[in-house]
Amino acid sequence: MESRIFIFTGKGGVGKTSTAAAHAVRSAREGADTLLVSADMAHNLGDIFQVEADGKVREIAPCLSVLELDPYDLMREEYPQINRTIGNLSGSAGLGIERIGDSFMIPGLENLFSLLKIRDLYLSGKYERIFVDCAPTGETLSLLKLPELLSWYVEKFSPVGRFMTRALTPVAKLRYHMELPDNAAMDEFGQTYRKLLKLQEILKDPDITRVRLVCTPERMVVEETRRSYMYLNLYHYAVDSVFINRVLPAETGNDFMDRWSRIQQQYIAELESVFTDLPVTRIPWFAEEVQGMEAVEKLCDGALSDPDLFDRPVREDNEFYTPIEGGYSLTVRIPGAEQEQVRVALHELDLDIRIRNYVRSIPLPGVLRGAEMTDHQIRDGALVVSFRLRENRETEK
Amino acid sequence: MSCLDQDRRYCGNREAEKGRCRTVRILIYTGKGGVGKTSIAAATAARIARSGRKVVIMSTDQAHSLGDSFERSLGPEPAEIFPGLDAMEIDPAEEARQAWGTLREYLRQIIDEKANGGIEADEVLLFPGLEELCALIRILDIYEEKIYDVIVVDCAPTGETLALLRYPERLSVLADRLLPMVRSFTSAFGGLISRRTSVPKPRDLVFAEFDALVKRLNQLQQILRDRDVTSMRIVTTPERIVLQEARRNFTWVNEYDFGTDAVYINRIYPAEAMKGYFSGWERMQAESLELAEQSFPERRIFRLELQEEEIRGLDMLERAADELYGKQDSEQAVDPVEIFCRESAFRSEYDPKSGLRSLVVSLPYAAKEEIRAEKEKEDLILRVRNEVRRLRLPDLMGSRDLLGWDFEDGTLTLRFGNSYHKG
Repeated sequence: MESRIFIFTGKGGVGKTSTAAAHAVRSAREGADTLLVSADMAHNLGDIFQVEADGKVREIAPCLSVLELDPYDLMREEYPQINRTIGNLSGSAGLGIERIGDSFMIPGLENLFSLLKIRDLYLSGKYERIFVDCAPTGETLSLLKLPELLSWYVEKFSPVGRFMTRALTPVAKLRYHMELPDNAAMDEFGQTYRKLLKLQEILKDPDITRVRLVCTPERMVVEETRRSYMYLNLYHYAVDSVFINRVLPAETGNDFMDRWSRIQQQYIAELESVFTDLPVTRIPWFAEEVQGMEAVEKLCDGALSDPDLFDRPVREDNEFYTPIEGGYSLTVRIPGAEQEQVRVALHELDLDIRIRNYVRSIPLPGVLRGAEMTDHQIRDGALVVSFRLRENRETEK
Repeated sequence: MSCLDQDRRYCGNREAEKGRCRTVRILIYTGKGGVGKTSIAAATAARIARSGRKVVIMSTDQAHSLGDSFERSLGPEPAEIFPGLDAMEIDPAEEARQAWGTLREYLRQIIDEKANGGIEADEVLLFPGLEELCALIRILDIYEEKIYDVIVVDCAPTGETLALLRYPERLSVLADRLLPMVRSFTSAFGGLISRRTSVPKPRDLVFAEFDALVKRLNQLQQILRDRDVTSMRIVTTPERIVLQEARRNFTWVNEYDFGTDAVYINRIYPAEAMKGYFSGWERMQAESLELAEQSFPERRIFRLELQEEEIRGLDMLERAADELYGKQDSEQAVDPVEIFCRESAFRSEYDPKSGLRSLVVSLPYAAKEEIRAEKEKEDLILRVRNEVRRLRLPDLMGSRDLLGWDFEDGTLTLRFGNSYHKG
């Protein structure tokens, strides 16, 4: 079965969960096998459907299953060697950590185990559509850049790691009473790393994974949504829709809220002017909290009735090469990026694009080996980097 | 405050002003994104400055909105909003770059040695969150200068930042136990590793920098834990999901031994907003407010209604401060610098032998027969006479059964089982 993954992200409290839930209900109603997964540690799927969600896949309606992930449980159950190693290491170092989740030196790393689980669920082929209710934007972004960052680390340091385990583990144990990772653990690290590569492939394939931005018409949220759109594009995730939640009706029945409704209009207009290339859907603010299947269905029938909800086009021109005189130019769409924010560096066959503290490393095709980077510019929401091929450089000499 | 007797004008000469305050208070405002934490922090800072103390408000959130609140652009150095109030926005990435100079240099070297590109060493994050941690060190720097009587911090969303504050302890254990080992390793094997894997031997400076950073973080932690210096303040709205998160954060902050002395409930709908379409909200909001009352026992609760428009500019900020703290110099006026509560909400204990955990709550005025305790999902509900307390349990207890409790000398000890039970 061709599975699809839809990831919902946005600032905390904007209604990601209810939006994801409405998508899932709509999908199940079409008769597609649907899984709704919460990867946010502050789960509230259970609250919305008023069922007990307990870390196991649970069918709550025909074709509709829900799952709340607990990365600590996943880690304990599915990565016993890594779990044991970290426990030993921290225990023997006297870190006094009792629980595996607490022992992480890397905040946010535990979220990676949730993503790896989503990979497994995708590969199981049991579900036609998987909807992921993600953690707030900042966390999601650091999560989405993690696979890239980690694979970089693993490549750089695994030779050292192997050497360490062979030569140093016995010494460490004898002399310092420290338990370094052993071979079994290193194997599991290796397997996890390969899974990570596959995960990256799945998440970045626009035919499989789509990211949907959820926001509300508020000043701070508009800014943050813009920014996360930029970063998601930087990392080459396919963002295909924007949902504006909590839109007040024009007539609320009282002057006070009517005034807020007018304030909202201003931000809705701004959002629509920013996301000109994406469908923007408004979801009304209901007079009661979205809770229970009925409320979720109401949300589907109103705002999410678009027949093409699951087949939205995505721009294919996010990253492409154009022949230019003496070489090629690479265009990477990064809407909202400004010339002075962007730094570009070429390292052999990798192009690093940096915007503030986010870096993406794009491997370049072999034809560009030895090429020289001649220019980079932001044009119409895209970064255009020009390369001059080596043979051209040489013939000119 | 200590500085009232001294010259309180800001004369622009920071060097000369260093050390002018004997005591400094730090007020940290945290809360889920979008709850209006920045407005409340800014309103509070303005009020304190108006009462004659020298205040700096700093934002460590990457999504800066402090400048927006004051309607002017801010940078990483203090800028004067009005005499007595300075404001600054810190760029965590920049702070990290400064703090980790040598280590970064070392990583860059590794990459140059291996010469196969990838992410620039310059940009390699040692771990996500490190940057925010470095931003917090700025609090320590400003604290030590003793120029300001009060430092108000508009923090990144709660979980993210506070989670980081538990790292100093671990890092310092690492520094004490691991560093000597790594050092002797590298002097013994560094050359060999270098030859075998082309990873160069770290220089001593790398260790020294790590050591220094860990020391700073530890000092920071001490100050943040000192109830006389630092008060954590949680900002929430009456919305159910937001309030649930605030409750979880309250538990967390307490678990890590930081003191929360006040909670702010922002964006309470005034009665007129709940007419017509939104009439259903009245009941929801009343329920939430009641839950909030029960969830933060002994903390001061401040309330702010949803204003007619977005809170922006000094005038509106000061109006919000009046609503929160009462009109300045009026009889009911509350001083936001006050320490509203010094007690911990609870203490958790762990017996490594039995694997049992217990939660200890101080109830000094209760009698045993007046106490009822029960667990409902992840909440602990304590009833003492007519008072109800609803505490969100720490994660490790939320999933365990409540076995029983004892009460002795005003201390309630609740015992939890050692097996996970689900659902």
